[in-house]
Amino acid sequence: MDLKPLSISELTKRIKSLIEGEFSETWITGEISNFHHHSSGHMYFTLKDHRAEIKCTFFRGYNQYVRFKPEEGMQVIASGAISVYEKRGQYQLSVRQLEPAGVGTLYLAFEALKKELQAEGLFDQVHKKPLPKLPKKVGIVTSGTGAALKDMIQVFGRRAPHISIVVRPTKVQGVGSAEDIVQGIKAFQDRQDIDVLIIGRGGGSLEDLWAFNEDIVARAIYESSIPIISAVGHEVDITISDLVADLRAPTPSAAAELASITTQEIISLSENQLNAIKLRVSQKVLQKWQECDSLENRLKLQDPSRRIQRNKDSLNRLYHQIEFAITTKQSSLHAGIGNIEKHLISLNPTSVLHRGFSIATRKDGQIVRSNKDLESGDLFNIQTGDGHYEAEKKQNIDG
Amino acid sequence: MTDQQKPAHFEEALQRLEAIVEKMESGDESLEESLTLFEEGMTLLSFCKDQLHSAEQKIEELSGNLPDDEMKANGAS
Repeated sequence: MDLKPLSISELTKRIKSLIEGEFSETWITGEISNFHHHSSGHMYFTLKDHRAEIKCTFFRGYNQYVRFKPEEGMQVIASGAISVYEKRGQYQLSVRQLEPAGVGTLYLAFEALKKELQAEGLFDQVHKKPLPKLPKKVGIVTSGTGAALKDMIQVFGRRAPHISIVVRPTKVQGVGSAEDIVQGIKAFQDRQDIDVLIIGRGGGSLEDLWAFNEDIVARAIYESSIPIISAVGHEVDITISDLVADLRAPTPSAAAELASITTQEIISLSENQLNAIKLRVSQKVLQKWQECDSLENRLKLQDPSRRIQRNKDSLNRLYHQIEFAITTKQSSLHAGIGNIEKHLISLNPTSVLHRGFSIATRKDGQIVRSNKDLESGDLFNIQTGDGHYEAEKKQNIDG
Repeated sequence: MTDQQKPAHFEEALQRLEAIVEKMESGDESLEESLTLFEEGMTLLSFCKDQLHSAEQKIEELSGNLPDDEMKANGAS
């Protein structure tokens, strides 16, 4: 047991979905009271019998098609949906269609057939055929003289002159009309060139529209291999045909619009496709640009002039190294030569002479190194620091 | 460098360019070789860029045609 209390909003929400789910398409009969036709165009009233009453709204969009003048105390049949007004906890009937009560048996027949066909699955979404995107030929089953046909031809001519129309003039009200509609639908089944079929007629009373609530018409629509748009009466009129058809159009003109795609729409369709292609190709080109640019960057990094510059740099470096090496060698050579010079200078015999030594030289130029180099009486040269003179050997003193 | 054959189409040129760049990046080739490769690479690059430019131009031309025709049609009506 769920003990947690519901909030008012939750409760009302559940009531709303229960009620609105159950009574989305309801026929009720009762007596009008508190009728008020507001200056906005909307009608407000209460429907009641001797035990109960319900508030009703009949908005301008719907009540413009009402074919009689609703008055206080009048017995009527109203169709519409029950809606729950959450804020006030009220429910009401949003009336879509209002009829005087005299036609009550027709509603009963409608409801009975609707229930039967629904149970058989004739309204099921799975049986609905999609409309062709670009129909070329449209078949129409409607009165050959009615305003509905004129309206449809006008819409096709204005919107889609490229679509050809095949009309099967059909009796759409009165005795034998249901049979004729069935014949019309079947006549198109034998042709291979019809892309979509429109069946319908203009507005009228419930009795006028009745052929489209007949069992045989419903089954002919269901069995059609061509997609069918049903367009009966005004927006507020819902027929069995509408429920069985692959698509319901609120009016015949609307059916023509649904069945036609305008030349402009075709152009913009192809423009869209073209733009998509353009976008794809442009993106491809952009992607290739990116590849190209990145290869360009990489290639330029490999530019041989960079390599040449690098080689030049190392050449330069080598040159400087050689230059440095040579200079170093040179200066060390210079230093070496200086030492040798000093050494040479110190070895110069004349410097010895300056210090007071003398050199004796024979006439033949040989330096006198021994007593035996000279005989007594020999003339010889003596060299001093500042000159030389001749001398004569007298005798050996010792040795 | 006369032995370079002209690329037949964009993809081929781009592939060849990529191969050249990769080869140069590996850095095994001599200076002479790299000069040859670089020259070929630059030729391929400018070929690719030309192709891309003309592709872009073509796209603009083709998609530019529609509004023009429409304007003519509207002008005539």
